[in-house]
Amino acid sequence: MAEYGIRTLYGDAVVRDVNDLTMADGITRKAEFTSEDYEIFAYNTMYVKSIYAGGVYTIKDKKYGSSSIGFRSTFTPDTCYVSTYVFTSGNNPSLSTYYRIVDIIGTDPTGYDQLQAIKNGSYGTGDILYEGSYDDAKSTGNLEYLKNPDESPSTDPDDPENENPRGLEHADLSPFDETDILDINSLPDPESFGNMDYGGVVRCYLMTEAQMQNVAAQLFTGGFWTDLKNKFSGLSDPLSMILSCIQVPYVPAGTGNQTFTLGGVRMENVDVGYTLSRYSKKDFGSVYIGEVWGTEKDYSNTSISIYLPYVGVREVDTDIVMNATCMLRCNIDFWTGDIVYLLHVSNTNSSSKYYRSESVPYRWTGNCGKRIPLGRVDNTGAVLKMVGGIAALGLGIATGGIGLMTAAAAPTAAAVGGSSAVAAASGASMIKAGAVGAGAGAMGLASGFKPTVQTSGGVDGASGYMDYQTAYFIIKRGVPTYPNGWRKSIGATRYQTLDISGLTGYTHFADIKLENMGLAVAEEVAELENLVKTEGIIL
Amino acid sequence: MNITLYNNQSPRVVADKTLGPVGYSSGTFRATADVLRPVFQLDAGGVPDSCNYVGITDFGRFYYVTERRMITTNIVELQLEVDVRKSFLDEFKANRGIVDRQTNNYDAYLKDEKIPIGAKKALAVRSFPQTPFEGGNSNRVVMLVLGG
Repeated sequence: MAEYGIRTLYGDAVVRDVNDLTMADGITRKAEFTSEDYEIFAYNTMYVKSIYAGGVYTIKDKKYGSSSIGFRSTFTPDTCYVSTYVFTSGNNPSLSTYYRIVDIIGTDPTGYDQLQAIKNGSYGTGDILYEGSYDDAKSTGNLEYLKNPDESPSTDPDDPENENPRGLEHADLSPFDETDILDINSLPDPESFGNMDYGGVVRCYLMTEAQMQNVAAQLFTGGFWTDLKNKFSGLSDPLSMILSCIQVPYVPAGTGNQTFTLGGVRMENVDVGYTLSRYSKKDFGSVYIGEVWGTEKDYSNTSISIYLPYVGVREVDTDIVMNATCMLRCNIDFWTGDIVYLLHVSNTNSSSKYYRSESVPYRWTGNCGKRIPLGRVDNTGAVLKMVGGIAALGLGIATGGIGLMTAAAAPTAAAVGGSSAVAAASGASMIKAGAVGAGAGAMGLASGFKPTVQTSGGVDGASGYMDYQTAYFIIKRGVPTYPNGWRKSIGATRYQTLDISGLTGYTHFADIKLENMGLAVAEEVAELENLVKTEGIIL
Repeated sequence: MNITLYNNQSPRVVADKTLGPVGYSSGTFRATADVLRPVFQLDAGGVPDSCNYVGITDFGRFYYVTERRMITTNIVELQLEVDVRKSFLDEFKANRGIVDRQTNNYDAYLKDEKIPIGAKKALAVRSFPQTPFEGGNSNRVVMLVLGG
C-alpha cells in the first residue's frame, strides 16, 4: 500500500492509496486522508484533520445510522461521526465503530486528487514529507510533521505567519468572520408539534371573558356538581380536575367549540372554545440599528438594551446588533404561559461581526400567563361535623336522619320548628335549628359547623400586564466631538506597517527604523525617527 | 558655496514645503562648519527680510533660519538648523514603518483616544413595528382540565 505524507495548502496530511485494499470488515476503501496530528490506531480509529468546506460526506452516527450532511453550516466536529470511508459518499457502512472528525485537509474529499497530484509530480520534494510506510517513518523519526503543533514564532522575521495568531484553533483572520450560523429556520417550529389531543384525558379550553363567566356561573350550581360528584365517589375537591387556569395576552389559535366538560361531565348549554395545539409562534417584525458616525465611537461608547414584554430590560452586545437588522420572534407555550424570545440578527455590512450571516445570538425566557385563582365554598365538611357533633351530644336526630348535603351551593339557613326529616337534596338547606334542639352545647357546636373553602391556583405577580406590550431597543450613545479638519490635522487611527511612499497627508508613526538614508548622519536619522513618532509628518 | 534663500510658509511638520525663492548668495567658510547647524555671515543687502529658510546644495540639505543677527550694518549672520524632513524626504519615503495615525489610510473602527466623548449620552428608542400581545377583551382564558 503506497502511503505519502504531504504538505498541502491546508496543513499536513497522510494520503494512502487504498484503492485495492479490502479490509477485514469487507469494506473497500478509496484514498483517504488521515491526520498526522493524531495518532492513528488502526483503520477503525481515524481522526482527520480538516474538512473540505462545502463537501458532502456520508457519515455514520452511532445512534441514528448513516446520514449525509453538508458542511459547514451544520457540522459540529465534536459530535459528528464519520465512517471509515468518509471521503467516499454513497457508502453505508455497517460498522459500529465511529470516528471523530476534527478537520480534513485538502480540497478533495476523496483524497484521490491529492494522490494523483503526488503521482504526477504536482507536489515538489519539499511537499512530500515521506513516502512508504507510515509506521517505518514514524519509528525512524522521519515524521517531522508529527510533532506537536508548532506554536512558537517562525525564526524568519519576515515570515507573515508571525503576524498571525498561532495556536491549534484555525483563526479566521479576515474581517468577515464566517461564524457558525445559528439559523433561525433550523429551529423547530413549535406550531408544527402537532395535535395535543389526548383523547379526552386532558382538554385545553380557550375562553373569552364572557364564556368564562358562563362557566363560573354553572360551576357553582347544584346540577353540575351533583352530576360530577355522583360520578366520582368520594370526590371532595372537583377543582382538582382543573389543572390550571391562566389568562394570556393574545388569542391562541383555536380548533373549535364544544360543550364545557369536566371529568367527563358536560355543562349543558355552555359552549366554549378549545384547542388541540399548545404552542404559538409570534413575530415582532424587525428593526435596523444603524451607525451614526461610522467609526468605533458607534461601538465603544454605545450601550444597547432591549425591553421585552413579560421579561423586562436586558442588555445586548452593541457589536452584535449595531448595523444589523434585528428580527424578534417569540415562541409561547400557552398552556403554561412560558415565552421564549429569539433575536435573529442579519447583517450585510462588511464591518459587522455577523457579516453575511443570519444568526440567533440571543434568547430570553419569561412568562406571560396570568393565573386566575379558582375557589368554591363546600359545606360538606360542615354538615359532617354537625352530624358528628349531634351524635356526640347525644342529641336526637330527627327521624329520617339528616341528609348529607351533596350540593356545592352554600347552604341557606332555614329555621323550622320541630323535628322533621331533612331530605338529602341538592342545593336545599338542610340545617334546621330545631332538629338539634336547643341547648348551650348546641350553640357551641354550631360554631364548629363552618364550610370549608377550597381553592385552586393562586394569585401571582403578573406585572407584565401593567407594562408595555411592545418590544423596543434602548440605545445610549456617547457623543464624540470631531473638530473640523481633524483628520487632516491629527489623522485617524491605524495600526499597520505601511510603505511610506504610498501615503499622503498627516502621518504619525508608532515605530520606524530608517535605513538607506543617503547623506543623513546618525544624529539626523535619529532626529527624523523621533520627529515622526512624536510630531508626525505631513507627506 | 552656493546658498539659496527662501521664504517658507509651511509649518515644520510638512515635509515637502512650499518654498518661494527670495535670493541667492555664495561664499566660502572661514572656519569649520557644522553641517547640521551652520552659521553664515552674508551681505545684508542680499538677504531680504523675508528669508526664513535656506537650501545649501553642497550640503544636500535644507535649513530653517533659527536666528538672524546684524553683525554690522552690511553683514547679517544667519544661524541655521537642518530640516531633516525635507532634506531626506526621498530616502524617508523609501522606508516603511508602523503607522498609528494617518489622514487617508485609516481604520475607523480602531479605538481613537484623541477624539473626546461628551459626558451626556444621547438616548434613542427603537420599537419593533408590531406586537402579538393585545389587551382588553381579546385576551383568552386558557383552562386545562381533566376529562374534557
